[in-house]
Amino acid sequence: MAYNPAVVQPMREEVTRLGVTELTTVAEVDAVLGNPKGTILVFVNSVCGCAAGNARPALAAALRHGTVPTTVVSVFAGQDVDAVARARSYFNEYEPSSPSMALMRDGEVLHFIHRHQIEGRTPELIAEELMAVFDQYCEVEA
Amino acid sequence: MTSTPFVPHHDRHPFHGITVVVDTPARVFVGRLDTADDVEVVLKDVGYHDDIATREDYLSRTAKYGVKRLTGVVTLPTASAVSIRPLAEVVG
Repeated sequence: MAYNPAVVQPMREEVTRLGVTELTTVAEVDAVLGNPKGTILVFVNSVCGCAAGNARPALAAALRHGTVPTTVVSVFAGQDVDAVARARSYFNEYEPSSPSMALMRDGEVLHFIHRHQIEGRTPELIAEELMAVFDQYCEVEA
Repeated sequence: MTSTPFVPHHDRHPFHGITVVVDTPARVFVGRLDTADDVEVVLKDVGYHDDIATREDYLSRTAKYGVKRLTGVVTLPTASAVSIRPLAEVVG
């Protein structure tokens, strides 16, 4: 059962105000993930307070880093069901979990952070992991 | 850092909401811990593996690719649980 949209909206905005493009339909997902350019970070947003409450600020901190993916998008698990299923189809070797994050290039998953790697970790630690993989795989921002 | 407020469940088990590995003599379970007390352990979104010989492979694969959900909820007698540890700590 989906949560009340009014409850979820601040969680969406916590991500979109970072400049992250939220994908809410299959067509929007295909337009980005089906035609990848450079590195793409897919953030699977979630209501789950235990993990998502740390994942979102971690994402915010990581996106302030000098090196970031070419494109950053989000889908919202449990809310935009079709869009999330479509996004997961692009990294379907990984089991569904939310929140989670997939860094991709040319359709290949370069790094995946599962929910179990977010649970119990501080935003700072999660952000450090993200920034390390950005440094490893992404171009320096112009 | 600002974030949408979250009120932790102080009345729950310390691993509440955490993906844990529960070892039992016959089977290893991986799932999100809901509750655990002196009587029972309740896991949600659970995967499991029966072959002790390939247990480590199963856990390594689960750590990398995620929990393959085989059932929604598992309730175990606490006495049958040899250990309960976060997946992230079992496979670093």
